[in-house]
Amino acid sequence: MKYTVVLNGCSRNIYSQAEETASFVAENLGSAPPGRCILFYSDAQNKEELIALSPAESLLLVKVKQRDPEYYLSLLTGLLQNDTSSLYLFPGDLCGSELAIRLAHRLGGSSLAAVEKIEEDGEELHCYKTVYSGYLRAQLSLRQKPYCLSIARGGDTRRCRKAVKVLKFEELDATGFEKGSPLGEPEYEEEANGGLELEEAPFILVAGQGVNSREKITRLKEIAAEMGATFGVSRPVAMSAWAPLHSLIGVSGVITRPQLCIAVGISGAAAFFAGIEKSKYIVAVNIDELAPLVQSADVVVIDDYEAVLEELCRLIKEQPSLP
Amino acid sequence: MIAMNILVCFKVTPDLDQLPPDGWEVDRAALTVETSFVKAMINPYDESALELALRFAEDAPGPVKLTALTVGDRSADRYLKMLYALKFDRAVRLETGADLRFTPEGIAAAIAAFVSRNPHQLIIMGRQSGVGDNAATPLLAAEKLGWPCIAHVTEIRSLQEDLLKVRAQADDGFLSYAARPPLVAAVGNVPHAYLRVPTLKERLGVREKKVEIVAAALPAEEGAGCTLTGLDVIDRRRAGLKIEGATPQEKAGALYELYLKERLAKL
Amino acid sequence: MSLTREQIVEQLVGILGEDNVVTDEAVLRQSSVDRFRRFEELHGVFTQPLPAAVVYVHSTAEVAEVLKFAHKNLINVVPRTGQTATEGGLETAVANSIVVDGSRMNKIIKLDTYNMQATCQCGTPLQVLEDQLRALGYTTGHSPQSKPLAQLGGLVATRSIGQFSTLYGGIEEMVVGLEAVFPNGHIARIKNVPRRAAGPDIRHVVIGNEGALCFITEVTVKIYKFMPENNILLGYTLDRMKTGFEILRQVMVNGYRPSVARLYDPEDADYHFSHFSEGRCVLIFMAEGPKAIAEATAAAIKEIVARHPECQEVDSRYIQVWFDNLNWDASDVAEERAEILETKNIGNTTEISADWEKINVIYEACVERIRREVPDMTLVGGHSSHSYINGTNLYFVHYYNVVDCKPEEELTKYHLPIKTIIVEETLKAGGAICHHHGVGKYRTPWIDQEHGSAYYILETLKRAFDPRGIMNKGTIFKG
Repeated sequence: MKYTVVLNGCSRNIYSQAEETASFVAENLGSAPPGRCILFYSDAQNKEELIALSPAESLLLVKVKQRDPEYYLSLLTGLLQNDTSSLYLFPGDLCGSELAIRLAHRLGGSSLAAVEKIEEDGEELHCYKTVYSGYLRAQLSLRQKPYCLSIARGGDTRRCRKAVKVLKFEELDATGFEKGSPLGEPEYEEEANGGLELEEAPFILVAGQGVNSREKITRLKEIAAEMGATFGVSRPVAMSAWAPLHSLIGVSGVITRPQLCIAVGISGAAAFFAGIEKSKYIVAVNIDELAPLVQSADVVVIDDYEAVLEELCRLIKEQPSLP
Repeated sequence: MIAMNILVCFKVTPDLDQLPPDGWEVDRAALTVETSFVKAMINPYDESALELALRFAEDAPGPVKLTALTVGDRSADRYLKMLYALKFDRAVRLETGADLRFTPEGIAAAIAAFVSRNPHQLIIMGRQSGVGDNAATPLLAAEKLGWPCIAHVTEIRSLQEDLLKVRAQADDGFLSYAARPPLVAAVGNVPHAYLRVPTLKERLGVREKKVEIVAAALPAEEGAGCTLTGLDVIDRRRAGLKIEGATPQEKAGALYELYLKERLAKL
Repeated sequence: MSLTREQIVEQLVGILGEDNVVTDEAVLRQSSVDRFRRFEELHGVFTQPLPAAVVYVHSTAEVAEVLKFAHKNLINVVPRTGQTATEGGLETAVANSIVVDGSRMNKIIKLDTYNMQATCQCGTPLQVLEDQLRALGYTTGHSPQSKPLAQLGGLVATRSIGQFSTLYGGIEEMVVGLEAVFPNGHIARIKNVPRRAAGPDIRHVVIGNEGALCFITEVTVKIYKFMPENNILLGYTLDRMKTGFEILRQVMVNGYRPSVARLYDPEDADYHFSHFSEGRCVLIFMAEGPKAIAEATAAAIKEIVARHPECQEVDSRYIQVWFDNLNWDASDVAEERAEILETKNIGNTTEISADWEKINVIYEACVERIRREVPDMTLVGGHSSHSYINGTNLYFVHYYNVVDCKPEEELTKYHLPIKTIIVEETLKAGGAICHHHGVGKYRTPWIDQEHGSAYYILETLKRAFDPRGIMNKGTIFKG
């Protein structure tokens, strides 16, 4: 199956986009002929570094002047008019999942967001993804080519991927592309760290609604910093604006994949759990023994989280060799 | 001044977190799960969309007309009536008994068809809803209408007549647009956007108002779409080893010594 | 001469040690209120006098020391454990009070499955006790909505009741013995016996005292076999509350004891059961216990309901899912807080009881008056959730949007007028103004009317056991 991967090199999460798609390609398209990658980038970026990220042997670097999905979409629609790929793969981030759905419509194909795995079966492409707010996994079959898919976030990128050597390399300067976005150019506002740090963090501390005030959330954030953990929260906490939006973990936020995750005051709805389930080791601290997370954690402390975390923090800080 | 017509689309979904763990039983033949016994709610993203629209209407310099639209059966009527009480001008339900779980194409087509018959300049709706989790309907509606779309919206304000300020979450920050309608805004995570509650008086005031019910023919295989061919429960259980101890401090100590110390050293 | 705040703190530190005396201002502010004033609290507005300290006690002896100190120096004491009070019982009505927190006295002392009783300290969370019992195949039978948070001392002090009370009774029927400390430092232990006729039942001086007479340090409750596999859930929708009350009455009068027997009016039903109630009342039962009894109870209820054609049975799975999501834990409280701040919509409840003849009269009068007299209401309704052979309770639920008023005016503009209407109508009809949340501080003004000539007995208890009036001023007793 001929495939093309599309990456947004202008976003600071380009590394995880590249890893995610590369590991998806390795697991699902290992026997397909080598694919192609289209990578958007801006003037300010180091081209060499971006080339090294390509998950495919053939690379088209497209220099852009805008970095919003509407603009990319116009560009892609033009670029791909005569392209013969049957599969377009996008990372599972906000930009990628939007592009996949809309591009499929423009190319007359079919689309699906957050796909975990694919199997080609004659005239159909079977796709697997979580549905029912993360409680169930569905097999959905697509028939209309080209297939435009965004990948489920948080795929197992730790598995060592084969280094891809770019054999064919093209460049396109699209900065003069005028048809661009019907919306005009948006203003970009960088958020310090954003969700990127959380996505990559080896050790995270996550607080849920069992931590029931802004003050207590703030204290836990301090504790996280003292322990050397990156801090995240569940959706209700972020919706109360007790923590920045980019620290939101779960299907509607960041999908993490740390070595160690300590979850505090989290009941464990599936939509949240999807955000930590790639963790190698999960510790749940919860007063409620019946919380679903208790079943989904490796080790559990049933007690008042404040006392447990304060003590744990003290113990970790005392250990001189730690980060 | 001509009023700006805003269409807010929402979906009533079961609160799946209420279903007990042993309640997840898949009907192998029909590929369904019984969720009708679970309390219903407005999909949280759509709830934010409705509230953002109400705030927009309050602050807009010119007149605004709000239409609430849903696709589905009569279980949504109670919510539509509530939206009347919250000052929505129209509350419309596209009636269908179809399986709507994995048909974003069909729903988007129905929305586009409604808009072509009932002109609106701005569509606001949640980006995704539980059960199907397709995350596609607003995007496809925009494509079908040929309108621009901003996804993951967190804020919509009126800058001046016919000019909107829209802020949206991006993967590494925020994008702020000064956009002119028509436009589809797919609402993402919005802090502080619980839907307000109508008073009894407001509800009483609209008691006679009828929900507009329009028969909707959802094309079953619109655009070839996708077909559900399998459905399985995800087993997320892990060991769940319980740490024993008399005090929280003791438990923290045991947790640290037995399970964390080595792991932390390896980070 | 009364002690200054600093002197009080200093002496408390002398008794309990520095670690157990908290004077952090944020803690003190938060400890000056309970859920009754949560609208103010959520907005960071604190109108009640600040306590001098929150102190953590670890033993009965420490409680006695603290109480003796307060008694001697005329310092107001507010006892607490799980802090789920809803009626102002934990408000510190007097400046420089001592909030005595028993939550760290949380040992389960004995689970005696032969004599079927469990003994634990006051700070034991009911959830912890219940979980341990269930692991052994037993239950307390006590299941208030606050179960994930509430602790035994507070539950006994407020005459708590649970969702299965129609079978197991309120906490007063569960407590077999206890230990309590009185203001003069006297420690009284009531021994655990099945029954006795050795004078009046002195347990009832302690149960429901709301910290206004003594501090409960230890509790022994009955336990029961836990047989959830026999549970049978039944649900119905119906048109009229009156019919529902009549069905409840027939079930009780004919000698059946379902554990759950609940009747929701259309408004309250819409709040909880909109996915099936369709604007009607909802009636719910659960039969439990040994299989044969559960089955016989369920069969009898079905037969009684069948005599009322307006009732329509609903799939029991609706009821099962509701039942599985019934209790309030910390995250529900947090979500509620966020929603209140956001929408300015807040709900409270008021619970009363009356005999079968009067209950519907009170229900109709209250709902009508609140709707008419109080502005900005978004929900006025209620349910009956605890039935007896001679009557039942009503749990009024009242939600409103707080409009055009400061956080500290919310009580006077909305909550208190609503409470007043409910209390007035209940007294007029001859019901009881508090069914299970306790009197707290906001139904105290009517406490003498509630008891009439019997108030003499109640008042005398206060004079006898707390002659200097240091225990939780303003709670239950006036002045």
